[in-house]
Order: sequence, then structure tokens, then C-alpha cells
Amino acid sequence: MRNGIFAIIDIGSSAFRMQINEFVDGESRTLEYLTKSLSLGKETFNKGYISLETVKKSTEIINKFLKKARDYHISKVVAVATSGLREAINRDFFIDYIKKNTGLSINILELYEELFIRYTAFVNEVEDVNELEKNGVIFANVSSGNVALTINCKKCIIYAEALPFGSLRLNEIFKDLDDREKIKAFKKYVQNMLSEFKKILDKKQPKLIFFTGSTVTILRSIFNPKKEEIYLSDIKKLLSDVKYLNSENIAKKYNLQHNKAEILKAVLVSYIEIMELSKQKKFHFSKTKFPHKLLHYYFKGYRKTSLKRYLENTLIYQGEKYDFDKNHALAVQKHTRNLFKGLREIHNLSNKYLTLLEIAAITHDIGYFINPNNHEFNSYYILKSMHIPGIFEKDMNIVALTALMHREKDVEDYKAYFDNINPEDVFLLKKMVAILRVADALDAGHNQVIHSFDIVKISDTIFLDLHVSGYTFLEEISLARKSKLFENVFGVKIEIGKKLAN
Amino acid sequence: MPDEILKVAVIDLGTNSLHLQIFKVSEGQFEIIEDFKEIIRLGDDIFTTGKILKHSLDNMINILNEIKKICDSKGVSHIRFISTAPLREAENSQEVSEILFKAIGIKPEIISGEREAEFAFLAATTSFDLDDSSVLITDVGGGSAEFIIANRGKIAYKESTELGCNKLRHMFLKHDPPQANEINKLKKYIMDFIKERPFNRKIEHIISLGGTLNNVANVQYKNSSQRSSRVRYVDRKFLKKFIRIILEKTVAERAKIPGLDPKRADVVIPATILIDSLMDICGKSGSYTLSGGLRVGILIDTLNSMGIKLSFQENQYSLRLSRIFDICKKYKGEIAHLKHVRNLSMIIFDQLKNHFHLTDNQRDILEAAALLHDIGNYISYSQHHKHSYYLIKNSDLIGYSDEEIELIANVARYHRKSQPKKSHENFMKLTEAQKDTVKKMSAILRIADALDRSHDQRVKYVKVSISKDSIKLTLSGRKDFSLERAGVLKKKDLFESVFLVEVEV
Repeated sequence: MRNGIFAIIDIGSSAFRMQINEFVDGESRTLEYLTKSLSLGKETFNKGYISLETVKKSTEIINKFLKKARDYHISKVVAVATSGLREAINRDFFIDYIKKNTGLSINILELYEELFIRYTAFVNEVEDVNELEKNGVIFANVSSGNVALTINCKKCIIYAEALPFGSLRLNEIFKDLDDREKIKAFKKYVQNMLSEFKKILDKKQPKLIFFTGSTVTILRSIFNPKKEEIYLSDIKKLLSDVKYLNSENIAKKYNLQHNKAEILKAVLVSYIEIMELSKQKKFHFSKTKFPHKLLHYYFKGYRKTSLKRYLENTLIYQGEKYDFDKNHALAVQKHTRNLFKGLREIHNLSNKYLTLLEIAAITHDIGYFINPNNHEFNSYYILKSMHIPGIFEKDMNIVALTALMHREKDVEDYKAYFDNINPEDVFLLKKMVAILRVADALDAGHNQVIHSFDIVKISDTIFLDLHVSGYTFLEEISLARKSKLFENVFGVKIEIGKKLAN
Repeated sequence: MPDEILKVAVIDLGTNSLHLQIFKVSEGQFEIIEDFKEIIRLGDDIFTTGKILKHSLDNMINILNEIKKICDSKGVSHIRFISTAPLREAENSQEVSEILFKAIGIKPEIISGEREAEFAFLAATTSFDLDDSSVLITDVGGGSAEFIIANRGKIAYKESTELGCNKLRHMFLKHDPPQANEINKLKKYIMDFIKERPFNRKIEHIISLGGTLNNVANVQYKNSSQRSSRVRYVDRKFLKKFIRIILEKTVAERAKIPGLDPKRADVVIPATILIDSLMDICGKSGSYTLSGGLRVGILIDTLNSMGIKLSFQENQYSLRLSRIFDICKKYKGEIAHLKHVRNLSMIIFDQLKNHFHLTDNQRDILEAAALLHDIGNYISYSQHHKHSYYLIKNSDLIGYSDEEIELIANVARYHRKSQPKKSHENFMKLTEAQKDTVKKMSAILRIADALDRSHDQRVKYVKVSISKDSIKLTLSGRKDFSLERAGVLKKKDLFESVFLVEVEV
């Protein structure tokens, strides 16, 4: 945590926001909070792209924001964008145009990255987090485009999904229905989308629900609650009050901007359905706004509490869904970690790759569930489709490729799969695969005969002195076959040295 | 036995390999959860010395010890250990059995060639609907080859013969690469042998079990996503070309052919010539291959002897539909919705059939796709249509050809919003006729799916009235259909563009 003045620009789907904070010795003070309405989402979700006129307006807003930042002598401003820009087909044009005309670089937040930031904020802002999480917490983010739902329980994400029934989108789908039918249609549609969510709730009934995102702001402005919570009964009453009103009247009656009034019914239906399904009488929301969270996430450094534990738990949960061999997965993870740590001089990989390798180690066999034949392709497919908040898509791709190549076949046989990643990354990938193959071979019998090993390097050979509790016939054959890549990539042989009974 | 999960291991000591499969059995369906194999090639001992030699025996014991550990770690409750030709034929088989028993505590059950043939037949029943046809099932092993003719689901003929591929190799192929006269002698020997058998053109299909022919299928499908299917189809044209190539190569050169297991590089010649001769004599242009055959047969025999019947044996549905229901259950599909979408699809299809010249084959594809369209949800709701496509292609559907599976997967792929596009590889690789089928069947599926949008089966029947340029759907059932009507209006565009009519509800 550094002292200084920092600025963040949050490009949301209905507004642009900038927050400037000063950090002094761990204390944070907001100096400026600017907000300017401009609905990128409306164009993105209706037409698929952002018009040139809106791009130009965005440029003006950003220039004004940057001028303000210069007044505070802030040299670097971080700008992030969420779904309004993320889902526009011409987002690259938008980013390029803004860069040319304002000098600002915009980062697009992936959805699951956004969720992770919100989760990190929750962990940091709420007291008794561990106590709360024990009974399960639902996070729901109803935005214009999507509804993102996650269920966290005991430092594990047991459900994470982005469902395409954001409020603007719902409105669009049923725009031809008359007002009375619309609410019924919204309801049914939302219920269908929630069918998988319901299956999880049948198994685990969380005690708390948090809503996040811009739609919370709409409800807050209507209800003006004293505490950070809003009751289901109030939301239901509001829905019956607005049922027969058109959006102009809603805007007038509740003092809302027109674009917000338009989506209100869809918002209310989504909240009600999610809360009823999860049997919640009220929902909680966070005091702080998203720009505030971003600012702390990027500059002040939230405590990245027990991220590792959370990741591991989440992966094991996924593994169980695919009926994996947990003991084998954890054994390979352990061997991977020990090889990685003991061979740093040889592989020269940063710790980030240890995390990715461990993910691959835990999940490398999950494709067995689909079909044991050529299961590595199925593992790859599942991993490519898996969303874990906090792991970026690019990194997940590396994990999936590492798992894909964990068997003894020639790496070049999989070339088509890694053709589009750059050559340095290919080399990193091969290093990771080489380590994973050795670790997998050390539990080839899936029965954990090898407990641990010491690494001894003698000239060009690495010897693994094993601590065993049985006969390692299979592990030895397997290592002989699977260590060829290791030798090619690192230029040293890896062999079994002594065997010590445990 | 509802809800009870049973884990059964089958160990099969063959002439070429020692093979373990562990099956998870529950609710009348089985699934392979472990598949482990080491090539041991006892044939090399037996066909030269008549015995199993000490070093092979030691190797076997090592592997069996590992196999036992794997069984323990997987929680296996029943192990069946059988041996086929090697222990039938080795002079010292009694002694070997004793030693194995002492070493690992399980005595191998030596099964006769006839029993082996029956197992092959049982295995074939899990993957093929044999009720209406006449098929020749072959299991070419290293030491023996089994032949079964099944007419309308009953065994009409079975024989265990000496045409094992490793055995033939030792008898005929002395040079590397083999000399022309060796090949001719081999071919003549095989032909003379099979001519005496009731193999003729009345046979409608040939189904080949056994590792070597599956390996040939690997070569044929090496670049295809069907590479991992349990059932594949090997073209005779491909097989002939393949044989021509391998005859000119040495064993070492053959071992380098992508897809071919190097350890089978020598025995592949007799095995392929045998299958080709069978195709020739039965006038067939290809053969189905089935992997893991014998062991699946042993599993079923073991279960049946324990009083457990698998769901397809109960004849509730045809074999292929019961396999589809198994897959739906595995991926936690909403069975009531899926069955209903299937029924609605069939109701609509049958009323459109004559007017639009639809075929029975298209109906079968629609039916399967309707049942499977949502399985991708198991992976994630977003993109689930694409996941359905992937899972359908990788789930070993039974009783559909590769081409049909591709079409079923494509139809399911297009049940949601997106329509076929030029950038979709899965669609563009189809022929024009196939594309037409996919568009038409997914157009119907989209409407049927929309008609159960509430997922509560409220639409009971759809009457389709066809006029010159429009079709009208009249819904009957209970309660109101506003959501369903809105759904159809939203998803009717593909239907209108492929059938060139307007849709009214």
C-alpha cells in the first residue's frame, strides 16, 4: 500500500464514473466522485455495437475526467469497462478511438474477473466473513445484460454462472407483449433460466443474499433504506404498484431517469424470483460503490485472503461434479508442487505458473467422466468451459492446454490446439506439461504408493529419492515413458534414485 | 437394485495383453471408470516354445499386483479374472494358474472358446440392436478368433477357431517385410478356412471386436472426433489401401504409422487380411468395430449371474433409446421436459412428413436430438447448446452411424437462438443434403422446445394445418399458452426460412 492520490474510471453500461482517493498511511479518503450518464448498454444490447456518436460522447466525458485528474497531478489513471463495452462487437474500435483521442488505455474486465473483485471487496468490507460464509452466501449481480450468480460456501464457489436475462435484455425479448403479459413472461423466463441454480439450492440453502451492480442503485434510490438491506415484501409491493404504469409514469412517480424506469419491471421480477427461489426475506448490499471497490482492488491492495484455499476448494468441488479420483488429483498436485519448488533453478518459472500447474494437476483427469477414451481432450473441453472467478480466460487456456497434454504422447500431436498462442508461451507451456507428466507418473497406479521424494541432482541427471509404502512397478514404467519431454525441455534426465520404505 | 452403486472389475488375460476394466453399475446402466492395459504378448512364448516363460510370468505378477491395488483404490467389490487362449493353450497353464493364485490370491478362470464367443455376442448386444438383422460377430484375438452368427437377436452359430492373429503370424510370416508367397499362403489358408463356414451374403453386418481392428479404426479416424467412440465403421476401401501400405513396410516402419499401436505392428497383417476376407465372402463394404468388447460381455455375464439385469435387457425401450436415456440421466437432464419435447417434435414431424417429403431417417435424428438437446447444461448453462454438441459427439451413442451422430449433434447445436452460419465449422463440413436435414430438423426442434417453454408440459397436442404458404399450429392442453406462443414467435424464423411458409399459432 503506497501513499498518494489515485484515480479510477469505471465505464459501466449506463454511466461513466470516476473516483479519486487519497491514501495516507492506510487511511483512505475520497476526494472526488464524478458520474456522467451515458448508456453504452442500450446500444450494445439492442444493436450489438456502439454508435460513432456515442463513441464521440464517451471521448468528451473521458477528456473531462482526465482534466480533473490532472488538477490533482495524478499521472496514471486506471480505466476499466464492464458489460456495456465488453459485449459490443466494436469494442476494439472503441478502445482504440479513446486511446488516440484521450491517451487513456481501457481494460475490459471479464465477467468473472468482475465477480472476483466484488467477492474480494465483500471479504474485505464485511466483518465476520468466515462465520457468514459457513452457511453459504449468494451473490447476485443483476445488470442490463446478464445476471451473474455465485454461491460461496466455506471458501469455495459451488456455483458460478452468468445467465442472459439482464433487465435490458429481458425487455428486448418480450418487447412485443402487452404490459400485463410481459410480467408473466419475465417470470417464466427467469424461472427456466434458474433451473440449474435451483438444483444447487436443493442441496445447499444459503442463509444470506447480496445483490450488487447498478440495479441495486435504482432500488436504493426508490426505497432509501436506513440499513444496507431491502425486504422482499417491499419489492413485491413495488411491483404491484407499478404493474399498470408505463415507463413515463414510473419515471415521474419515482423520480427515475427514463432508461431506468423502462427496465424497472424486469429488474423487480428478477430480484423477486431469485429471492423467492432461495427463500430469502431480504437482501443485503454493500455500502460502497463499484468504483470504490475498483480503486481499492487496483491501488490499495485488498487482503487477497486465502485466495489459494478458495481456489483449491472450488476446483475440488468441480472435480467432484465430474466424479474425479480425488486422492489421485491431490497426490499429483502435491508432487507437482514439490517438483516445482525443488527445481526452480531448472525451470525458472514464476509462482503464477505454480498456481496454474496446480489447477491443471487437480483437474487433468476430469474428462474421464465424459469418456475414458482419449479423456485428455474431454478434460481440455471441460476446462475451457469452466469459469472460476479470479482466473482469467487466458490463464485458463494455459491450464486447459497443460491438462490436454498430460499423457505420454508427443506434444506435437496436439499442435493444432496451441497453434494460436505465441512462441514464448508455447515454451512455458511445454515446461509446465513436462513437470505435470512427471508428477502424474509418480502416482501412475492411482494408489499413492509414493508419499514424497527428495531431489538429488548429479551432473546431468535428477534423481528422485522416493519415500514409498509399497511396490512402485507401475510408477517406474510410467516415469520412463513420460519423462522424455522433461529431458527435451530442460536438458536433464529425471530418474528414480533410492527407494526408502515409509 | 435402485440407487445402489456397484463397482465390478474385469481382468482379462489374453494372448496379446493383460487388460483391466472397472465398471460402475447403477440403475441398470454401466459405465467404464477405469481402463488399464499392458501389452504382454504371451503368444510369443507359446507359439515358439509351447509354454509361458518365467520372465513373462514375473512381468504378469507385477502387473497383476498393480491391478489389484488399482481395484482397491477404486473400491471394487467384485473382481472377475478370466483368461482366454493363452491359458487354454500353454502346456504349463496349470502351473501358471497356481503361481498366479499364490502371488495375488485370485485364480484365473480359464474360459473355453465357445464361452468367449458368447461373451463377444453379449458385448455386441450392448452396442447394436440385433433384433431385426443377421450379423456376423468376430473377435480376433492373438491366439484364437471367435465367430458368431446372430439372427434376429439369437445365436445361430458360434465357433472358436485357430485364426488368432499372433498365431497366424508365427505360422506364415517369417520375413520382414513379408514375402509375397508368404502373404499368398496366408490368404489362401484363411480363405479355405472361412469358405467352409456359413459366412455368406445373407449376413447384413459384420461387427469386429478385438484390439487390432480397433487399431485400424484409430488409423482411419485419427484426425476425426470419432477417434474415441466405442463403435466405429471401417471402410473396406480404406482397409484395402491400408493393407497395401503395411505389406510393403517392415515392422519397425509400420510401428511409426500414426494411430497404430507399435506393439501390434507385426500382428496387424493377419488380422486385417482376415477381416478383409470376411468382408469379401459376405459381400460387405465395411465392418463395424467395437472396442472393449470381450470385457463388457464378461461384465454383463457377471451381473446377470448376480441377478442384475441392465436396463436395455429389460426391453423397455429399444437399445438405442435406452442408451440415450442413460446419457440424459448421467448429465442430470430434466427427463419430463426432454420426453415432452421429443413427443411434440414427433407430433409436428408426422404432420409435416408427407407434405415436405421428410424421411424416416430424419425422424430418428430429430427424436434423438430432442432427447439430448439440453445435456450441455451439465457443463454450464451459458453456451449449453455447444456443450450438447460436444457431449453428443463424445458419448458413444449406440445404433447410430457416425454420420447420424454428427447430424444429431448439429440439430441439438441449433436448438437455441443462433442459426447455422458460415463460420460454424461443425455445420460447414456437412454435405448440402446433410445441411438441409440439420436445418429442417432443428427448425422443428426449436418450435417443439418453445412449446414446452414453461417446462410443465402444458401443451398436450399440436394440430398442424398446412395451406399453400403458411402453416398454422393449434395448441391444446391446459391453462394459458402466452409464454409458449411468444416462444414460438421468437423461434419460428428458421422454420419459415427452410420450409418457406409462414408460421401462425
